Amino acid sequence: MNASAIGRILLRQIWRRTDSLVSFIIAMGDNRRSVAYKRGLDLLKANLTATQLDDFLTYRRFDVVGGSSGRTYRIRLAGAMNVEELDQGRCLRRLCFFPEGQLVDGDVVLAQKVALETFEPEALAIANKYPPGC
Amino acid sequence: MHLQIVMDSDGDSRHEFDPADLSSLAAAEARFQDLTGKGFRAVALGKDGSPGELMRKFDPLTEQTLFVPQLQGG
Repeated sequence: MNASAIGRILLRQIWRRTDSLVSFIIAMGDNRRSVAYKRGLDLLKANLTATQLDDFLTYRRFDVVGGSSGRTYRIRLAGAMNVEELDQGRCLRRLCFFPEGQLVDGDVVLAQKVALETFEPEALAIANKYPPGC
Repeated sequence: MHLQIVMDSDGDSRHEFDPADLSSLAAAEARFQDLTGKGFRAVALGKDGSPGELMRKFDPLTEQTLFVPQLQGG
């Protein structure tokens, strides 16, 4: 097994433990929110391609192809401005858009993926755009 | 059974319906109309994470429909 493969396995183990820790911390204050958080992640993972799932489990991000433009976007499981528009792997700009309501992280990321794949022009019209360095 | 998945603060709510049962079908169509009327986008989910398709109208043949709340910029 090479160093890259070992690194990917270690990253996955770290993320798995991070998920457990986050769920535990949320459950300390609000068990209902903890269950929702896990449901959101499960729904997201059930709707990723094999490649996207592999990237998500390892790096907590994955790439999607815009349904109208064919452009590549990278979505991260991380707060605001978590969507990057890429050009040959380089970030051109960051996008900030998310669904209304108090949704959990997994739902937000899945909504962004689905939006870019199936109604990209609408998502782009709504999104606020920021330079890559933000 | 077909499935409608609605994103909400509990993660999601799931509603099964039988396309061969008229009352079940009517309830599913009513839910579709209600949610899309409120600004949700209905997407027919693709297989194994592949891109789905935006639904402009109710389709009883769609096996899994995901309802995404209205988007907003941040």
